[in-house]
Amino acid sequence: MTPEGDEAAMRQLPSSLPRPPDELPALERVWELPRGRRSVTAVNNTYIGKLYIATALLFLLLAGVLALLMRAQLAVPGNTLLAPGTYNQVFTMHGSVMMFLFAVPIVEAVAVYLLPNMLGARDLPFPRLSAYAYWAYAFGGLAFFCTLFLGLAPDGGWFMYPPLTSRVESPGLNADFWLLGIGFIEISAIAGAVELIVGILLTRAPGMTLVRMPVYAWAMLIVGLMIVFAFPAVIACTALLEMERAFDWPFFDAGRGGDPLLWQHLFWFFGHPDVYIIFLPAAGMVSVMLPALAGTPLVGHRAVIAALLATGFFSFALWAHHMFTAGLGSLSLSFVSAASMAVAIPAGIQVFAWLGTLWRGRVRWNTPTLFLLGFLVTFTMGGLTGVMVAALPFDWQAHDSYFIVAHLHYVLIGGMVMPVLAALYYWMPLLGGNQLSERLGRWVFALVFGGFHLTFFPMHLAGLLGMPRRVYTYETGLGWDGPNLLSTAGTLVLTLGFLLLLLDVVRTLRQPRRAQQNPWNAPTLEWVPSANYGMRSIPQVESSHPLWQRPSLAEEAQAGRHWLPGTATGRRETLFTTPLRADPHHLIVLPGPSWLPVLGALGTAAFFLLLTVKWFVPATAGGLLAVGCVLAWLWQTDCLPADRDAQVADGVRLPVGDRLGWSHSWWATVVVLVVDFMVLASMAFAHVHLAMLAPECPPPGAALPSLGRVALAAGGFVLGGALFAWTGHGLGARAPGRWRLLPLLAATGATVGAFALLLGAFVDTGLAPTAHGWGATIAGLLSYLGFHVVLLLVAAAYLAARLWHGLLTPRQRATWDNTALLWWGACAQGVITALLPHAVAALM
Amino acid sequence: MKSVGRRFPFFAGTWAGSAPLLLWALHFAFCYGAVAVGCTAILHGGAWLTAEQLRLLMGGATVLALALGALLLWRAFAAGRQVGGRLLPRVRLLGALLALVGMAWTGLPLAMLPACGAG
Repeated sequence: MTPEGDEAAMRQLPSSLPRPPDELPALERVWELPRGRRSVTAVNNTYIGKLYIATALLFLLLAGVLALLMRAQLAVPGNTLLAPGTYNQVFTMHGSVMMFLFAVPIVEAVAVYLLPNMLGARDLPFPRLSAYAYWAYAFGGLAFFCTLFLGLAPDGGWFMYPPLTSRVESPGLNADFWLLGIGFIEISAIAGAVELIVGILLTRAPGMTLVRMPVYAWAMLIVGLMIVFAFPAVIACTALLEMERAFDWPFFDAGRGGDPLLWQHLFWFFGHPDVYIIFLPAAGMVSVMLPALAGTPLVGHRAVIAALLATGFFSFALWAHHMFTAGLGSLSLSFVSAASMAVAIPAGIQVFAWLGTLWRGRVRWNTPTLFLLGFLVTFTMGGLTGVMVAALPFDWQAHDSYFIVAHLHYVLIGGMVMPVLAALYYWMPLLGGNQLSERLGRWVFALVFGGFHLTFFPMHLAGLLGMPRRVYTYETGLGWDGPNLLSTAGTLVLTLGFLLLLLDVVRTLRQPRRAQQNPWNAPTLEWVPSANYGMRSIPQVESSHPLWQRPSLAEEAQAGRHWLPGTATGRRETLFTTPLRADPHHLIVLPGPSWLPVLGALGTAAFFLLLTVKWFVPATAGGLLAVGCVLAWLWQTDCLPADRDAQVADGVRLPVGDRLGWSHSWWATVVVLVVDFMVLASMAFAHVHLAMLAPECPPPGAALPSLGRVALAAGGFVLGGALFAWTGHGLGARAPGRWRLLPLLAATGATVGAFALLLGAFVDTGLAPTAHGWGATIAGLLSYLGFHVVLLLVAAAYLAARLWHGLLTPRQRATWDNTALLWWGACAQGVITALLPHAVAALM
Repeated sequence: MKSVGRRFPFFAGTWAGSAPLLLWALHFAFCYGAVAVGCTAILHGGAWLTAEQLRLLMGGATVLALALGALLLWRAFAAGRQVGGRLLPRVRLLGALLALVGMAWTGLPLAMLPACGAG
């Protein structure tokens, strides 16, 4: 570019120099982190992200210690180091902690830390939600882990199959701790999904169109959507099993019209996509790291995005490949087998794209590159054994053997842990400007890669020789001694690698902070120097590789030459940009530090854990604390500054906040609503599944209420929804008067009345949830609807308070808009719940 | 649809990009659901069709799905030649190709196995 051209480009930048002298200090003040005891009130994504990553890595270490115990026990035949019951707890906790407290949280934690900067946002769109999700996970996860020291840890395996986990076979609290403890990860994961979807679609830097968006952001967007559709199934099945254990409702009791396979269907409808929920973020990281390390754009960039999308879709058809030996029909199994093999194609597209990138580029042989190569080798091996177990005849031989243990560790450690270790080396300079040691890094890689294969490759052989998984010991002379001893030796090597890495991480973090640099000459925005507020100004993006295309971008952003170089409203804020082209649309005002997320999380953790040990009064207090904190923070956040618009660049003023489809909170509520309906769909599936198993529907001894009564109840829900619409009629033009409390009261009365009518109709027909699985599913559906009615009562009281205080206005209407979505969603669920049993009975 | 696409290009693009994979999902869900419901009904003696008819029904659905998939693939190919260069045409094309392979693969067992055979 000529000097003239340079000058012309500089003139085109959104903000001009010199910047006002008080602009940067004001920005720093607004985004300042609280200090001392108040540091726990911080909600900045970089702060929460670091805590989140550290906590997830702590759980990796803790679960790793459990793995060491298991390998020590299995090193030699007939070992008595661990008692059988203890071994059951140890392997259950190892799997549960790895899957629920490490694998899913670490991918979300990295996204919380990395994504806003990568997208050019100042923070995630709901910082308090991130903080709440983190603290709920930290409190709950640590308490859950501590059950191990009290002998109360779950012992039914990480997928907790009934009838082993029924009240009859597992009478203690151990299984309850698993069922309620998983609530934390469900909350964290769904909160994360809301943040990811809304943040990625609506808060990207101006000009960052979807094709220019980093592949990692694409992966996280798809993962967010997968969480929305997959996690509700595990919410439903854990709720059903807990209801079976608490109230003796026989959802999974084959003797009373239940079906243990119902658990397997629901659990794996979550569980298999979960494998890809873990893998896709890692694949996204690889697609971002490799181009920087090879110095060339990703080969097949658009094909990789299509492959990610296809993997997301295909992953939902694979659940039953965990049930190949469960007695399903051969044709059904063949469909699933075909889908299991089909998913190898998009995975293969990505592998070839990565290989092509390595081939085309000039690869720098450093530790992140080594871990990426380790990932490629290991994940491909795991993928190949995956195709083997997708073939029915092979799986029938290998099922529940150590071959499966080997396969899943190749996929999970190869597919996720190795990219995360590469990411640790790659992105470590963002934490304090220092890199991990390259010399130690090569040792770490050699020990981890070598130790991993020494540990897990022999497990293939042990499995093929017939060693079943989950045995606490074995007889000598079966040919298993050698592979097991090798595996244990490998674990020690692997442990040494992780210890060396831990030492290096501690050493690096203790070094004096240095100015942030871009050591890999990476092209993505997270390498623009940043502080608590993210980047000084939000860059205008013109390419998929902004820092390669415009090397001066980092300097310009730091000088305040781009968008939003200060705080436009005197509060924390970020740009809302359009989902397709990322054009600036309006300014989102973000909430600052608060005790509410951490206290709310404490209340949530107390509620679940105390409920498990049946301390009902303190548990209720915890629940009330959580609800109170959430309401208080909602009260604070639906409050816009007095200014209707604010200057975000030279001559550019944007509105502050917007409504309905242009509001980020409205979209978040839509996402939550989808989750809600997926839970209902899972419960409805349970009803249909058990109805199909019954010899007739309703089963002998049970009856349905008259269609007239349930239709009346359904009409009541429709009326409740319509009356609610009246409460906000004309809100776009003027603030509603206090008399709107009357239609709100009427809407509440109609909705609660409809629920009471429906409940009464089923009670009058003698609904007996303990007698038959069919009745239990109806009771489950009614309970879920009852939960919604309680939620609507709280929402109505909250909305009434806002209305009374004159806080519903055309500009300040998020409370009404979002409550309306919840209200109409709950009423629609009421109609479905009322009519579904009749519809199913008619079709049967 | 065109006016909707002009007003909401994001949703129009999302629909165009994911339609082939949604078709694959629909086909898979139909086949899996038809076997589950149909075979249970046949087992309980209350079915209005035989196992062979059930297999033919799924076969017919598969042929229809493949035809629709091929149409989507052709449209994606044609759109790609017109627009070119951007993200959506490539995602649409590759998605359509993968969906077509996935549906063909899912349909393959129908040619080889009875509808309600033992597991």
